[in-house]
Amino acid sequence: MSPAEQLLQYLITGISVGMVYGLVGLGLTIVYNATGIINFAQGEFAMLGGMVAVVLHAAGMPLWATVILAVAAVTVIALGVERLAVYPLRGRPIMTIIIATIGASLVLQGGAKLVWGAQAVKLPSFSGDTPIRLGSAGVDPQRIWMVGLAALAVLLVQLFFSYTLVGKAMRASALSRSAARLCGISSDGMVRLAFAMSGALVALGGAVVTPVELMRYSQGAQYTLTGFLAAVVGGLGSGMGAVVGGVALGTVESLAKGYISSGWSKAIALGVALALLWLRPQGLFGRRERQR
Amino acid sequence: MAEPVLSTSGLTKAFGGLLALSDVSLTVRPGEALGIIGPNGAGKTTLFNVITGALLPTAGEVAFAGRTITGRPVHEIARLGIARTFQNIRLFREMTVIENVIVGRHSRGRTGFVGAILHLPGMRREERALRERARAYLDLMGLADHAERPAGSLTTGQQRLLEIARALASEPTVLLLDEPAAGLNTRETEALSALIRRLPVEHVRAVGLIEHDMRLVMDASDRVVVIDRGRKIAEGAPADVQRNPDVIAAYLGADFLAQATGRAANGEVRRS
Amino acid sequence: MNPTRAVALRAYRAASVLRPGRPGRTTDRRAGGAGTPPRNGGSLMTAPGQARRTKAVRIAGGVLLAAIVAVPIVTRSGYLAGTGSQIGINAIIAVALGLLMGYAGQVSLGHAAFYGLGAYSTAILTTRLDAPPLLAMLAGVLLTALVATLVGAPALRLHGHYLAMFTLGLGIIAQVIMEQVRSLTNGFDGIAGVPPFRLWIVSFQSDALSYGLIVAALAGTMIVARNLVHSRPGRALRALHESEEAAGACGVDVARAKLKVFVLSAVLASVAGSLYAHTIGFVSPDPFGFRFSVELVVMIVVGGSANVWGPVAGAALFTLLHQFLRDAGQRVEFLDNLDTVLFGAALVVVVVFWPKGLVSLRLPARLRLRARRAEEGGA
Repeated sequence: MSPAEQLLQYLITGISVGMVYGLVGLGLTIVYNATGIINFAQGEFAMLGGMVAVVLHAAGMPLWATVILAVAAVTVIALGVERLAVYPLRGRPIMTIIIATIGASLVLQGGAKLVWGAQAVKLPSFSGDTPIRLGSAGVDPQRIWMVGLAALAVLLVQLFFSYTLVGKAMRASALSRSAARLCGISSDGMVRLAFAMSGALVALGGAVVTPVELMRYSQGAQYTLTGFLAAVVGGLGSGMGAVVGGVALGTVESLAKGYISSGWSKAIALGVALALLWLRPQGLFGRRERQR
Repeated sequence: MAEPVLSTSGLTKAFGGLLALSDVSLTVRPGEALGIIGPNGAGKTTLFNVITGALLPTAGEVAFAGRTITGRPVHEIARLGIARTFQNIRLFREMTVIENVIVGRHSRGRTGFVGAILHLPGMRREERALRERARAYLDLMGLADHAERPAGSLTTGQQRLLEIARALASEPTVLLLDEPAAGLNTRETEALSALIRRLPVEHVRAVGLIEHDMRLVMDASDRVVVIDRGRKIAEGAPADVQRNPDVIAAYLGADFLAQATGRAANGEVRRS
Repeated sequence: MNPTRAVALRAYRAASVLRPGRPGRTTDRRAGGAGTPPRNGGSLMTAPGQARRTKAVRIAGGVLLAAIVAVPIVTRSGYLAGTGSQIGINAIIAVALGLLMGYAGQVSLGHAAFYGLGAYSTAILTTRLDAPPLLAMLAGVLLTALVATLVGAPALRLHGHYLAMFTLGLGIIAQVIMEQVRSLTNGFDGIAGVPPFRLWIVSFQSDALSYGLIVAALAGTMIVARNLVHSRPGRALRALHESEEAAGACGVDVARAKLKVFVLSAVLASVAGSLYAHTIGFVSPDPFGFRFSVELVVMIVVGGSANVWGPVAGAALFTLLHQFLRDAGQRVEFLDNLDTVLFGAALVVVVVFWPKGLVSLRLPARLRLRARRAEEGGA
């Protein structure tokens, strides 16, 4: 492969994985905007999205059905986390709730290990493995699925927030709980919706990434951290920013993996993100932190 | 006129496009209580924040006891001798009442990390001294009976007094009070007024007082400065400021001034 | 009132008497409001009889504790000494992190990195350079202090979840370094053959001696923590935890105080790491990762960070449970994988019902109110 083709491959990998990071970041942002907390269990939703899809597929279901059902299942799990770990702690300091979500992430992680063991699992690619020709380079079709489905999901989310009544209610609730409540918007309902949405989004990301990057019970933590950094790089509170941030991180990671070494790639991507977090905590598109 | 204890010149503070303070120059003279009034959002607390170093001014200088203190860190300015209370009561609620005051006296102690860990002998003595002095300030505020209670368990009025005790504990030169009467009833406000009048005489060299309660301001201040939308619009004796048409316009309300004017007309006790 | 509940209520009341901790600290802060009596820190309210009972209970508690601590030595059980050593090491780091998180209120999800730094320093210096263990430990301490200062100064400018994630990220970077710089650390294979700790001619070779050393180190750590808490700088830390603004206005150099406690907790973790290396004889990147950092948080939150004993209790509970599940898991495989789920569940349950941790053990407020009402109505 020529250097240019190699670069293209790295970029494709980076952007496609980056879109998944962006989905996790977007999920985190939705929950953050609705509650002010960082849901440490977010990455586990992605992990479970992949794992459940694998299980369903092994049971004989067609791929498209497994993805839909996995998303549905994780949505339910996300609501469960909200009910058990977040709702009982409403009104408590934010750090307390974050620690509770850490507990929830451990439960989900441990549960996955219990049910599926420590094995890494894989889904078959959605439309086969034959690379699609793009000029003289070959693109893994699954990558296109990743970017495509993720972009579609992001678009739907944006439309939801901009044009539907419920979406606008959520935005109102995020800006001012009390004002929203006076208008009859139930803030508890908004929180539940936020969790459900973010669970679904992130599970989709997990399902769509499993064919190319194996999934195992411990992957969730990685996605949580990367998702958070994506959200921060983009600007905590900005959904689009999270997606952009995710793509940026994915690209840096992929380039590092290709040109430096796979082992160091994680550290390098993290290092870049942390530096950005520190230099510009409000991120690329962010507004200033909400005054509580 | 004696050398001012605290002065600002051309103090400006911009938040993005918003000018919270615009070219504010004022002085606080030794032995006086300076009242600072103005409509809500006028920039009064911002003024205190800039003076105490919590915010950096966009332009202008702050001078204290002959030195320029603009831009110095908060703890350094506190140690130099400016103490303050907060508009929205920032007590250490989980700590006891007396511990709050002892922390107020932090700059008078010297035990550091190493000394504490090694439990050096001087430390015991210092702790006892700090505690005794703290108790004295609690006595002054009438809070001695509550010394071992968590600060969060006090009533609003008591909490405000505790904040003042904490601020006084460092033996500051200047004491800045930010709306100390907010949430107090009439009786408590009168007691507070008497206390504030004693401060420049007995405990500190000067007091800066932000207040909305007009009667308190008129009773307790020697001079008053009026801030509106970040600018100083009037300055002078309380009686004069009350009648200043610009001030009246700024407040857009006869209510505020009637409150003070009406009572003053009754011949009630006023500062001589 | 239902008899079972009556018994439970009496049992937990008895347990709270034995609860260690300094007076005035572990009592429920929710008690308050004008009119409630001052907490038992005020000497006026403690009758002489009461004071005697408290002292007797304290002595009894101390004797019980000493007995528990002595068991592994007395029974000469390598297994018990090994478990005890692990508890001790975890407890040292937990107490250290408790100072940072509980008192100063700063979250660090990357403290395992300092633990690893101490362990690797000791391992590398003793195996490659034949350095005396004490010197290697000191070198580890100095290196950790340096790294903690460099990393802490920028990190502590952040707050809340930003600080949590920043330290989490740093911890992961540290772990990657441990895995990748093979020339220094031997990567995933780790470094074997770390000699036992040696002080002049005394070699802490046996399990019992190792354990004794760790207990001594833990005692030292707890004394350091306790001294710090009851002091001017300790007060400053508690103050800045509640309001950095107000603390600054009182003359506290907030940034410096935070950095100092951060470095102190890092250094203590490093010492624990060195002891770990000597006790196990082998270091690899695995125990020093993000997972352990999270487990530390579990220990502190479950045990309670309001006093010095909380993290110790949390560490003990955690290590014992972990050990038990691992051993039982050898027979019933399912149990081996259960630990994560249990820790997570414990974390959530404790945070919801006992935010001050188990050491401030009381019935959860709602249940307590119901129990009291039932008791007053029925029994």
